[in-house]
Amino acid sequence: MKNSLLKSFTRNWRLLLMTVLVISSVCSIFYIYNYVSSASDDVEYSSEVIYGDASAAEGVSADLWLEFKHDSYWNLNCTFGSDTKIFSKFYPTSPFDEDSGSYVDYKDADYEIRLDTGYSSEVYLDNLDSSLPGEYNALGEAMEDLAAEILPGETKSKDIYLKDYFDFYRLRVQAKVPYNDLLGYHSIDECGRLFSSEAAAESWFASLNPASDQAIAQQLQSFFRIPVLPEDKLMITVTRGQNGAVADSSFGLPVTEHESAELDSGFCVMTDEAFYFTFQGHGSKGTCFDFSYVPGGYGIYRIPYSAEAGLDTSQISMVYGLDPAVQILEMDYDAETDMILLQYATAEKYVLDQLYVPDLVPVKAGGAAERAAGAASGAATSETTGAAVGAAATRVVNLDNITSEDLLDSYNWTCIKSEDLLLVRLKNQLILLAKNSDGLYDVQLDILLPDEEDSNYAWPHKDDVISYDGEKLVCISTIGIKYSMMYNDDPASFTLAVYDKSGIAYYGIYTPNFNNHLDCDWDCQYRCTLDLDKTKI
Amino acid sequence: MNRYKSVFSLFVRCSFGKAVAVILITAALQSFLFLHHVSGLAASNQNICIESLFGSSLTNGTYFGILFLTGLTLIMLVANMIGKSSAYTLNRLGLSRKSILFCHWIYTSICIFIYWSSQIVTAFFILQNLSSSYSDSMPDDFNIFLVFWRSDVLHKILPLYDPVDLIKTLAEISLYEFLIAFCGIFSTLEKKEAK
Repeated sequence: MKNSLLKSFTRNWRLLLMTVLVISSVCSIFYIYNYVSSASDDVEYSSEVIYGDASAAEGVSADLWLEFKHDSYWNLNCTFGSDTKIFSKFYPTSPFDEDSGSYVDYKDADYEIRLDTGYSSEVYLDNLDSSLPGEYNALGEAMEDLAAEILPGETKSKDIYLKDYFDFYRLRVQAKVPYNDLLGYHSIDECGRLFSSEAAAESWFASLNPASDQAIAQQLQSFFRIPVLPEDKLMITVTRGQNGAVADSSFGLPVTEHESAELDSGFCVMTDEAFYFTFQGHGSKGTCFDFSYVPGGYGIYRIPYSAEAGLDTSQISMVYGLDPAVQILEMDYDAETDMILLQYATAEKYVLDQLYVPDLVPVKAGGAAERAAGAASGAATSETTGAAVGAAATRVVNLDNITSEDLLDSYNWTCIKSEDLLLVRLKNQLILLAKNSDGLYDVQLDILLPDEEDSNYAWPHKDDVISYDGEKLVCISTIGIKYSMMYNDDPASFTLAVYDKSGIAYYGIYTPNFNNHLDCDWDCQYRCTLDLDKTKI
Repeated sequence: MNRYKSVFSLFVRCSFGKAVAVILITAALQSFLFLHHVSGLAASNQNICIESLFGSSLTNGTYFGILFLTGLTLIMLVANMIGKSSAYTLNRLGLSRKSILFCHWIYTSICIFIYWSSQIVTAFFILQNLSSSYSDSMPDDFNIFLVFWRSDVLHKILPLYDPVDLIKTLAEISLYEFLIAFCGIFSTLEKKEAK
């Protein structure tokens, strides 16, 4: 018996070994799979306090999404305060709606009108085209002048004064509006040539009426007759071929130490009936444009709009006058109260104008809520508008340490608009305005921020998520510790700032436990985005 | 039924010992080379992320992926190695060609399965032991997860949350297995018959 067992073992030991190995394989796969996958939720955050104490963030909670290298996602449930807790949940596939273009909200960019002088754009490169009317060929004239100064085969660059060749700025008009259920860039230069954004090009050419777009550009061009600033300089370069003809020509960016007109606006809001837009009334060095040729002068312009007919540029008008010297910071539309919120600043003061649509009359205190109620009940709004006209809705805050030169550099100011909140930073002065029960914005905080350079502290950034509970302002920044850097050293971090009446109460940096070794060479860069769903206070 | 068992036992007797040897040698080589390689990197003070240590893909990477494929090929080749006498015996058992090949397919699959799990264990073992040779901070459980999840090579070997990839890999291996069987056992049997 013993013998036969031994015999069968010696004959079948391989089979036995195989059975044992198969069983242990199954077990080890299950064990390792469980072990590894159960660690997927264990993102741990270490915090570093830069200012104040974490207890200032008591009661603050946030819900964040963390995306790591486009293939790992975590939902972070954070409760801040002296006992900070961050719970994370791993998602192997993207929880974001891919169709909506990740989770950046592009809503604000659904419409815009942009004017720019366009000299630095390729649009004018073919200005040497002699078939164009002479009026449009002025830069070509400048290039031919320069070509006359050099021998065949030579290349020469020269700074020219635009005023020697143009009386008025020529505009490049870009309008992007929902039109016939279509979004597209209507971009036409004043010669009537069409340009469009690549994305919109195909659908755009197929279904829009180019004639109407051309009319838009031409009408805006003839409306905005802005004389060229005498200081405006541009560098042109010409190469002559061996046969003596101009072989190559180009023009560079405006000569930076000189004044240049960019007009680049982007300040536009859209209501159901009209488009309102404005642009900076001065050049890059602060010289004001001469608006005497523009009907109504400088201010906010209105173009009637309807979904059926698009923009009616023939009806363009100036509706709210401004001093061209002011620096426009932001223009928003508050649909709830049907108001335009215009923020601008001078070296002395910051101003928020709350203006009624459609006539842009300043709102009187108490009028906004009444107006909103009127609109909601379908009552005739013209009546309430009349009653609401007044001067009490402009908010002015004195500025302490900003100069008009500082204002020209957009790096020196930031505007954040969140639901019912407007946050403005002008250099190191932070101003918070919150909507009151009347629907008007009131100044809530006016504080000075610490300097940025000394520490890992960063001023609020325009993509920050903010919230305010009447006492403290909470600001979560997800773009890394120092957004001024081109490449962040530690982009997986997010920061939490708490401000109150006395200034900064808390600033903390939260860094996940992704092993540092994951963040090293180009192939495995951290590309991490944090997205805030809500910040509850 | 008995005849199937005989065929199966014959395969096991012929090559399972060799298969186990391949499994062990591959794992040992991988562990040794990897930990050795990594300590070399650490010595030259290169800051390389852990997941890239495993290479960008199975064929274009470090020792791990290449050895994985080599081992896999060897396992299949070994499983196809049956001696002349065994082939003769197989032909005499009176089972249809189809049944023999089916038995062989089951047998090879079991070998591959054991090999596969040994690779998972090896990768896990390497990651658990990186701390001694790789830099100052040992990857904690979360970072081990990240490496398994993020590294293309390890994701192929242990497809976390990815049944589609698992099915794809299985299909690829089956095709590979079929090709080798076609050149291996199939031709061996055919040759015998021709004689």
